[in-house]
Amino acid sequence: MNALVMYDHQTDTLWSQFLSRGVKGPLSGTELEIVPTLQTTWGRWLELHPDTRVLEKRGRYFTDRYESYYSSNMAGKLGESNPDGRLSKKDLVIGLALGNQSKAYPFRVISVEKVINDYFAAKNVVATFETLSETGAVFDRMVDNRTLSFQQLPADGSDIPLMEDRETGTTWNLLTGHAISGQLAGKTLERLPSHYAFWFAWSDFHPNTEVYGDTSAAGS
Amino acid sequence: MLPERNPSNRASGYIVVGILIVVALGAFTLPFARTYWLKAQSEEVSLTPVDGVSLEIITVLTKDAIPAITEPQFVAGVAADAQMRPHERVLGVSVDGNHTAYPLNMLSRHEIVNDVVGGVPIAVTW
Repeated sequence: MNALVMYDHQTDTLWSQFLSRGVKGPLSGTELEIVPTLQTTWGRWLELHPDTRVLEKRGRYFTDRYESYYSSNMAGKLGESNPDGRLSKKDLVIGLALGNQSKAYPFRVISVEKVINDYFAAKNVVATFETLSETGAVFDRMVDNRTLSFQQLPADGSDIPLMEDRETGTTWNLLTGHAISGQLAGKTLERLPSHYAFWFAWSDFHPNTEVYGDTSAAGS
Repeated sequence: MLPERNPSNRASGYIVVGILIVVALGAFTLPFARTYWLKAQSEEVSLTPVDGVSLEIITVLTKDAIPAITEPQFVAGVAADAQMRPHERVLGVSVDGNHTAYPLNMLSRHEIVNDVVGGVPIAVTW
């Protein structure tokens, strides 16, 4: 498996992107805090956040140089095998890492279930997915010391993907975790550090990862 | 009487076929040779044992061969029709109600954007 290593201009430390940690040099061992991201389509992002700004392209780059890599069967730019056969190497997952524990929600499961109430690493979490834009996120589902359980709501015509909690009936945006209407309106669920990854990469950096829906292993 | 073949033509035919075989073998083995060579150049990096992950650094490209963005410029989302298509993918970051989108095709080209969102200095990496 291979992934980006970067350096900083100030100390020349080498940092592993996937481990979010310095691996060589003065700051070796230092952790970078992960800021959660949402990988989605531009159209969806703009609907969610009309006040967003976007990186200027200076008139270029309508194409992505890795386009053929995304859809190919090649794993890694040097070519690698699949170390963990629980999923196919280029299967996409929403990966969640909490401390030393990690869990993968495969697209082919989460795209069917859409809203998954789960308990992982001593936290009540909810993993969500919107199929049209292939966007997934994971949130802490504890709000004001109360654990909520969620279910998907049918689209209300506004095109915003929605869910509601069974405890208060509040309506939530399932991609931002923002409560839109109901008793908890105005609250926002805490986003957890999850991201979109190919299985071969996720499983290589998280060899002990659980896989949601995997009945062959205990604890999933 | 049959015309006699020119022996020198036959010899050059063998040479051409031979060259083609060498070229084909070379093309076939080149990726393996490249991977082998890169791995032979790699440096082992030790990590704390708790990770259960061993790491080696392979230098495929030298520093700054992929130009990181250190002074990003932005346009307002509602005014970005000229550069954005609805279905292209972005990486979105939200910090304290401040939202920024980084188009994946820009990240593929630059790999790293150094930015500040909602007062928090971040490196967006791809």
